[in-house]
Amino acid sequence: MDLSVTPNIVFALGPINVTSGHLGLMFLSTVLLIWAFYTRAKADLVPTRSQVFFEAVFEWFDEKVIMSTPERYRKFNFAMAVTLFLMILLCNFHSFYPFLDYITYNGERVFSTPTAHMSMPLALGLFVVLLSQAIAIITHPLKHIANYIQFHKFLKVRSVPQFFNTLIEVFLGLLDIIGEIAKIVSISARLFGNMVSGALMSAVIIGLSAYTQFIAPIPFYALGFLAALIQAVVFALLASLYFGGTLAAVDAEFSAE
Amino acid sequence: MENAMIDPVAIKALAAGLCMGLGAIGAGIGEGIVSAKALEGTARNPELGGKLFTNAIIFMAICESTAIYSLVVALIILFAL
Repeated sequence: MDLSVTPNIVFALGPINVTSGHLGLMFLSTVLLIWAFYTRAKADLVPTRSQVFFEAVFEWFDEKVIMSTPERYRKFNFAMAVTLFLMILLCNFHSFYPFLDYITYNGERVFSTPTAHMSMPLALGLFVVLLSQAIAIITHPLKHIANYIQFHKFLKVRSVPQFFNTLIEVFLGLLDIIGEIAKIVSISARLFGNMVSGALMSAVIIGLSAYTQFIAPIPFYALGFLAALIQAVVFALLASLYFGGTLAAVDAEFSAE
Repeated sequence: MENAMIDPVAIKALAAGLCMGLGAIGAGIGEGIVSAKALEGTARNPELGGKLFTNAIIFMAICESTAIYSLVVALIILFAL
C-alpha cells in the first residue's frame, strides 16, 4: 500500500475530482442498500443470520438512544446512529475485502478505504454536530444560546464569593463553544487516526524485513479487525450522544424527567 | 555551529518520534486504569462480566484518542509539513 494522506484522483467530473475514497464509499453504499433490502425482503419470524445481525445492532443502539435523547428526536437519532454504524463498519472493513485493491483504472486504484482519508470522518462529524446545533437553535433559540453565553447569571449575584463562582460558571459556558468545535475534531480525528494507524502498522511490519512479510502481520490484521469494529461502534455512539446531549440540554421535558 | 546544516528530514523524523512517544504515555496510563477497574468489577460481580467487557473496550477506544491525535500530528509532520 502507499502511505499518502490524500486519496488518489481516479478521474475528474468537470470541476469535481472523483477520488478512490468517493468510489469506495459509493460502492459500499450500494452493497449496504442491497444487503438491507434483501434482509428486509427475507425477514421472517425465524430469522436468518443477517436478520439476527441487524436486530442485534438495532437493539443495542435502541437502548443507548432512549437513555440519551428527548422523545421527539429519538426516531431520527436512532436511524442516524444505526446508519452511521453500518456504513462506517463496511468502510472500515474495506481493506479485508478480497480483490477490491487490485481493480485499477489508468494505473490508479479505483477503490480505497473511505474512512482512512480525513474528508469522510470530518464530513460526518460536521454533519452530526452542526445538525444538532441547527435543530437546537431553531426550536429553542434563546435557551440554546443561554447554555453557552450565561451573562444573565450575574443578575442573581447576592454576595462577593457568589460573584466569583458565577464568574467561573460563565467562563466555563464560554469554553463550551470551543468544546463544540473540539467535538468535531475529536470524533473525526479518532476514526481517521485509527484507520490509518492499522494500515500503517502492518505496512511497517511488512516492510521491516523479508522474514516478516508473511506470518508476522497476521496478529496486526486481527487487531485491525477489532479496531475497525470498535471504532465504528464508538463513532456512531458518540455521534448519537452528542446529538442527543445538545437537544436534551434545551428540551424542557427531558431535563425534568 | 551556526553554519551547521540541519537536515529537515532528520528534524521531522525526530519531531514525529517525540510526538508519538510522548503522546502515547497518557493514553497508556488511561487504558491501564480502565482495564484494571473493569477487571476489578468483574472479579467483584462476575455476572456483569460481559457488559463490563463491552463497555471497557469502548471506553478504552475513547481513552486511546489522545494517542491517536498525536499520531495524526505525527503524520502531518511527516507527510504534510
